[in-house]
Amino acid sequence: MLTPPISRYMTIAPATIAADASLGEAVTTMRAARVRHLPVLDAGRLVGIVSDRDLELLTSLRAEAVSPPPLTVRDAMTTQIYTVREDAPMVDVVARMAEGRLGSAIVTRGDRIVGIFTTVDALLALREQLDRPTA
Amino acid sequence: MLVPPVSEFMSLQTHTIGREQNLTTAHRLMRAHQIRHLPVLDGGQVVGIVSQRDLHLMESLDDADPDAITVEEAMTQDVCAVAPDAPLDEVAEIMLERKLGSVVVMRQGHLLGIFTTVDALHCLSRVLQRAAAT
Repeated sequence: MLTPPISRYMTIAPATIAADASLGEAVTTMRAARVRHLPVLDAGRLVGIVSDRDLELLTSLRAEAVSPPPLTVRDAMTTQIYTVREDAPMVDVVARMAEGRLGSAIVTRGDRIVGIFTTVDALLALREQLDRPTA
Repeated sequence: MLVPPVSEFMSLQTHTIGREQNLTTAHRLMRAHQIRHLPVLDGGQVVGIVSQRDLHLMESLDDADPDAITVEEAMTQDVCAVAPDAPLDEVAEIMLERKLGSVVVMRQGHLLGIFTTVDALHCLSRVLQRAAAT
């Protein structure tokens, strides 16, 4: 059997956020798009990824600080980025993510971001693959 | 395909930490045992889980003192314990529904291991390789 391309299980056209945006803007964007990860752009270039968990943690800490410095998405994001082409075989992408303990892969077509494959998508794929009737 | 139990793909991990311990202690434990997640126990019950990433994020703040911050402040409270024979498709379902990054695997109040999204990636990788070979 041919293994599916990553594009089959990715989340299509993810919302993105600017590196200089506030944490509040990131939360709003995530809620509106109903996602938990946002690719972070700086002048149109991909520079990181931020997750809802990163934002929550930083926001809760900031509430406790006496005079909190203003935090931006840049402070919360992970700069470790893994990009793959949309036709990359899913089996390769998943193996690489497992080895590198990566939380997501940004899926591209040329210079454009067309999707994101996160561990949430991986869990969905795992459930689907396990529940497939034996051929 | 026969659905494997969670015990087949979990990371063996029996180290835990108390909620009142500080982040320095959590760090030391993680380093000493080369682990990235510590379940937080209170009276034999899992009450949270703290990851290396949580610690790094907290410590990246200028005014954060790892000696003064307790594990309780950094941990995720939303945890779920499953039995070692829990089928992996059901475990995946629980993680998806409750938006969990990991579940702890326990038998009669004893921690046996953790199944994280990285373990899920390893499992998916194996499943896909098997499917490609048939």
